[in-house]
Amino acid sequence: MNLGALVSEVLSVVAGAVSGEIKSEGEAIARLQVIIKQRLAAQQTMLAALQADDAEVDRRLALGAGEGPK
Amino acid sequence: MNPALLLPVIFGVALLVGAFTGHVTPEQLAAGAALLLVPGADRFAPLLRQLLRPAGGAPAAPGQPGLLALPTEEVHRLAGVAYESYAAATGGKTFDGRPMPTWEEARERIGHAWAAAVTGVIADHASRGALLCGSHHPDRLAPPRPPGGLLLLLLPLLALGCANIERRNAAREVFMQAQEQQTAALRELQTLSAAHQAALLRLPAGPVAVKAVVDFRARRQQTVDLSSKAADAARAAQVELGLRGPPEGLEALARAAGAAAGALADDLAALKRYAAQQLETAGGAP
Repeated sequence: MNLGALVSEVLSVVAGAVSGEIKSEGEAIARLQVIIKQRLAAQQTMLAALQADDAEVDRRLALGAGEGPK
Repeated sequence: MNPALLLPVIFGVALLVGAFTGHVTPEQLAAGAALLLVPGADRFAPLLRQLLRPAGGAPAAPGQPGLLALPTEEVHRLAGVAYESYAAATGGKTFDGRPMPTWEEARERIGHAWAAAVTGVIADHASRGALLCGSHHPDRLAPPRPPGGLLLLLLPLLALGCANIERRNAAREVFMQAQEQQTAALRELQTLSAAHQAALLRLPAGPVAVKAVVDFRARRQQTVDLSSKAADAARAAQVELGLRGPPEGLEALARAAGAAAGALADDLAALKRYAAQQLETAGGAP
C-alpha cells in the first residue's frame, strides 16, 4: 500500500469515527430534550394530582366534621 | 532527542493517557496510532514551521528576480559594493587592463548592469534553498506543499474533537438518568401522599385527623420544593446541554442533576418514615 492509499485509509477511519460521533451526539441531544420534557411534564402532573387529592381530602374532612363525632 | 519527534511523542502519550482515563475510545486510539505510524510523522514539526512561516520567506525560482522583495535602493547599494569589490580584487583595472572609473562615475552608464548582476546572484542563491537573511542551509529540502501539511495538522485535531464528543455524550447520559430517577420519585410521592391521606381519613373524625393532615402536607411541601428546584435546574440546563462546547460545563450539570436526584430520593424516604410515624402516633392517640 503506498503512502497516499494509507493516508486515505486513515482519513476514512477518522472521518467515519468523527461522523459517527457527531451523529451519536445529535441523537443524544434529541433524546435528552425528550427526557427533560417528560421530567417537566411529570412535575406538573404531580402538582396537579396533589392539589386534586388534597381538595378531595378537605371535602371529606369537612363532611366528617359536619357529621359530628361518631 | 530529535526535536522533530517531540510533537508526535506528546501526541502519542496524550492518546495513551486518554485511553487509560476513558476519554479516548478504542476507535480513536486506533486512528491516532495509525496517524503516528504514517511514514513521515517525524516531519510534522518541520511541516508546521513551514506552514506558519510568513510568505516573504519563500525561495525564489532560478532566474526570477525580486521574489525576496529587496528595495531598489538596497539592490543598487549592493551593486556598488560588488563593483568596489571587483575593483579591489583587480587593483582598479578592467578585464583588459584599463583603469576602472569610480562607482560614482560609472554608476550612470553601467549601474543597471551591476544591479542586474546582483539580482541574478541573489535569485540563484535563494533558489538553492538558502535564506538571505538567515543562516545558510544548502542541503535544506524544499518545503512540502501546504495541503499535505494541513492534512497532518487536521487529523490529530479531529481525533481530539472525538474525545470531547464522547465526554459530552457521557455527561448527557448521566443527566438523563438523573431526570428519570427524579420522575420516578415524583410518581412515588403522588402514590405516598394519596395513600397516607386516605389512611389519615380513616382516623376518627375531629381535630386530631385535621391536624395530622395539615402536618403531613407541611412536611410533604419540603419534598415538593426540592422537586420543583430540580425541575427548574433541568429547564435552565436544557440549552447548555444541547451545545457542543467544552465538556466540563456539561459534566458539572450532570453532577448537579445527580446530586438533586439523590437529595430528592433521600427526602422522599424521610417523608415515608414521617408518614409511618404519624400513623403510629395518631393511631395511639386517645
